[in-house]
Amino acid sequence: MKIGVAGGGPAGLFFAALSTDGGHQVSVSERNPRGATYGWGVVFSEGTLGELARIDPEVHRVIDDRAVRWSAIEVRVSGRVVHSTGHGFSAISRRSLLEVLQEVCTRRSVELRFEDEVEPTDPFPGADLVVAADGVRSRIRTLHRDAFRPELRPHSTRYVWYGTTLPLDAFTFVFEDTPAGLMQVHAYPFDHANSTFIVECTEEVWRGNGLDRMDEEESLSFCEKVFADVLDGHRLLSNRSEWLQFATLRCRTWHHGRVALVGDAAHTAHFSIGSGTKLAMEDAASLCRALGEHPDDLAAAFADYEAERMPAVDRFQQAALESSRYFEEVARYLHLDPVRFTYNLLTRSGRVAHSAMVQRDPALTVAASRSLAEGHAGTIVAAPPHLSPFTSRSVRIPNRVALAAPGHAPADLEALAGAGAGLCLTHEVAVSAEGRISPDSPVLDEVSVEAWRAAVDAVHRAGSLAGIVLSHAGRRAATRPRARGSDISLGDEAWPLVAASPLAFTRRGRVPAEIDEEGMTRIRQAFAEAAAHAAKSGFDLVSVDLGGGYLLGGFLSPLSNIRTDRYGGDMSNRLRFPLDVVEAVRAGWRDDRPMAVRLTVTDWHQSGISLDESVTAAVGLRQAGTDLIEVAGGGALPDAAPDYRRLYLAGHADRIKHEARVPVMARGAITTFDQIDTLVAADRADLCLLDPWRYRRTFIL
Amino acid sequence: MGLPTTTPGTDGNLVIEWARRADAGPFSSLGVVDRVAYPSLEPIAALSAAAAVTDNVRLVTMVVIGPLRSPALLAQQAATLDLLSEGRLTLGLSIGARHDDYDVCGIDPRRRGEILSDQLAEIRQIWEDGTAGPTPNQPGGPDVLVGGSGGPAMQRMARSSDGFVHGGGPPRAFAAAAERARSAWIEAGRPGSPQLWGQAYFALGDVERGAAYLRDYYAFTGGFAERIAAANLTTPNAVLDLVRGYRDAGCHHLVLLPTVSDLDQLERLSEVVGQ
Repeated sequence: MKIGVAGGGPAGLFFAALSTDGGHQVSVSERNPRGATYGWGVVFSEGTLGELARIDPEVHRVIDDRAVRWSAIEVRVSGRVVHSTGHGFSAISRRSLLEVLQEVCTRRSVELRFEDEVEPTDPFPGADLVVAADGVRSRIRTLHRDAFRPELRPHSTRYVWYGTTLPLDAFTFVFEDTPAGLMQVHAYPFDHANSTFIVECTEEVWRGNGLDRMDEEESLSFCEKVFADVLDGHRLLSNRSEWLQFATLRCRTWHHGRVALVGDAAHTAHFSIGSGTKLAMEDAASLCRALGEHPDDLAAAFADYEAERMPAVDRFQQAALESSRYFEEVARYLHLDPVRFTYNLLTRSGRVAHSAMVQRDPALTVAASRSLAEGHAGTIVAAPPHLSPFTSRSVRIPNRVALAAPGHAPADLEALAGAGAGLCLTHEVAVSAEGRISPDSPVLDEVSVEAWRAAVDAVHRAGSLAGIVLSHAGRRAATRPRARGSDISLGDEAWPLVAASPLAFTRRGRVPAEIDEEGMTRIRQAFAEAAAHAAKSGFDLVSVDLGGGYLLGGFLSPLSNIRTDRYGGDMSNRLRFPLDVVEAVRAGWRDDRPMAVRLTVTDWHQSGISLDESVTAAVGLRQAGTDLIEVAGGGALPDAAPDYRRLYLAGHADRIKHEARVPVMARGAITTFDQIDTLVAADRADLCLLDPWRYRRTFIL
Repeated sequence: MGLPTTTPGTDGNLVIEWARRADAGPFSSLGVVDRVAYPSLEPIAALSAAAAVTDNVRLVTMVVIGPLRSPALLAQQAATLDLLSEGRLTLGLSIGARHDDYDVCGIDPRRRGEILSDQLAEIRQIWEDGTAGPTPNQPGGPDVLVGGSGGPAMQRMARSSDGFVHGGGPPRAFAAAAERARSAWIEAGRPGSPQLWGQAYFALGDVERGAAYLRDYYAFTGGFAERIAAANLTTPNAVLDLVRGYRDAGCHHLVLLPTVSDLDQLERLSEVVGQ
């Protein structure tokens, strides 16, 4: 086959070097002169290098000869340096990498043409296959954008890519305060005398420090001053280093006609997980392998290539997105102690979980766990984070795992006794008959106190604590039991509904009456009385339900609250009645026991409640005596656009916790203790509601 | 086992004989898919024929494109099939993937999600109050499944059905979708957990015909058709690996859809899964 490769970067050269193995005639066109390159170093994980050894031992050997290796990550924050080890990196200068690949290509009879830019309309006339390795601004991809459908999403931070003569021996993150706010550095060695030094900050800090008005030299000298401590007298080096905004590129397909995209031409992933070159070289290897397996069928080869690479790249892009978001908002974690801060940073992308941290750096992991434990915790031996206790007021919850009862009756709560969770939670329990979801929903009143008391006692005997969720279903009340679906109206047997505004929940649902002040007083009273009943039943925690699109949650969401009085409008108004209720519950509940709130922080809808508003609400709730917020999502609308991916509300919980400074319980597709360990040790959550399906499997057949 | 209702070369006799043999074989259910703007059999009509010659297998639509049909007629058809089969119907519904099915039926595809949401409530109500069609054999009507892996589809499934039907893919993709389905179920406040149904294509011994059919059937997806064709299960090992993978991912029912209209396919699969 005759193959033309547009672009002489790592992806293009590696593809060319590999494809000669199939006896193809390959030429590479690079628009820059030989030896010109604008990057500094390229970092690989140990795993990537191992993979390279399998794919092309010769290329691996020469890269290995010139690479530097190290295994530490250093975090400089709040005047301290935290050293973590066991991570395994290697790096090479970009210039060396290109030289190595060029040499291999030449040895394998690849034709290399420099200062030769191909014409996108007819690249490599006569070639059977064109590989577009021409970078993120690929002209070939741009010409065929209707086929490739590229989507470029810019990130909000600014960054600049410097070199430095400072020889580092760790992947180094530096967080420094400047007059306008926090600036951070991602730095790593690429040979024994030089390092890559990337400076990043938010747009606000960038402008605040006047960096938007500085030229190349002024910027460089500004950064040298800010990071003088770590630079220790070394200079920063510029190579046309300008402030940039990273953009994540995704394409609908990576092939069109005889053209295949590889590397940055096909996709980008934020630099903070350092995977651009790795992904590019993996693309090259995958495409080459696919061509070998389907020698006479380009369509089949492309399908094979995309099937292998698209999911892998997608996972990296997802992790890179999490990582970049972390750096956009990292200022919120500065109050953490440096060890927890470091643990949090190392687990930011979701790719390194607690179990991996235990393997890589036992010392740091124990240090992070130790700060969670009370009582017995040594410097060497400490309980894993999910088994550390959590104390709120005078209640000590024995571990960080919460479970929700499988049904709404007291017997369902009792069924959780013996599961080992720190906290066992009821379903929504109505504070009055009209607040029931269904006729068979439980109501917490004088009569039911004893039944709940028995269930709570059973939970206590098993060593767990019990919490009750006090709720009023509002416009979602008076529906059938949910065996065959939710929100199916009772029809003639339905009782009158009340809600923030007279809007039916579903298109077929009944319209509730807008609740008036008198109704609010009655309901506030019902919540307060229910709190007193909960105390009599022996519950360790009450939770007030401000979620699920029920009565109180319905006040918070602008989708269900269109009132024009002092209970509608901005967040402080919409929060007014729910806050009144929370205060009443606090007053009716025991001072020595915690009160939680289940708070919906997203409606999964663009016109719904925003996370900023939820932070405001969380602050108000904390000030009203809320000890814990269960961060929930959805419920305001039957037809929203929820996203149920793994840990889908953990990021929301993290934000509420650190911005409103209130303990949180995370929920949403949390299915393993490893996830809970990571969330708790990184201080993203205090308690986690586990979906225990993995632990319910029958394993003795 | 799937009925070959969309593969080229199917005739009435083949469908009947296929159903009869599937019922006698190691299979627990017989599934059909739905396309309108394609040379294919209408799924509920085909299952009605199957109902007449089977006694054991569950009859399942994987899926019927709900918004193309009026809720009353669909409720009546499904209730009829449930009667004819003495309570063996499971009705899977989704919005489908192709606009041309909507065009040929004269239905505006833009509101299809909303239409399906309403339809799910309406069908259940019709079965219960008898405003159209017969009373179904199963009390309250057959179980309903909803397909579609996006958030809105998952929410619809959890709010208004009995379970989830996956669109196909490797076990890992099914496991991820099943996890989302369970999350949606919890968010909807439903007791228990959703039924989880999976599907995959196979062609044992006639690889090229199977691939050609899948390329044609999925031509509308562009390059993706090639990937679907490449994932066709063409060896006994591939079938068994997938069955094990789906079982470990928590799948309750897996339907293997034929890609070649040849009874030999059914016999080969019976041998492989009957072991």
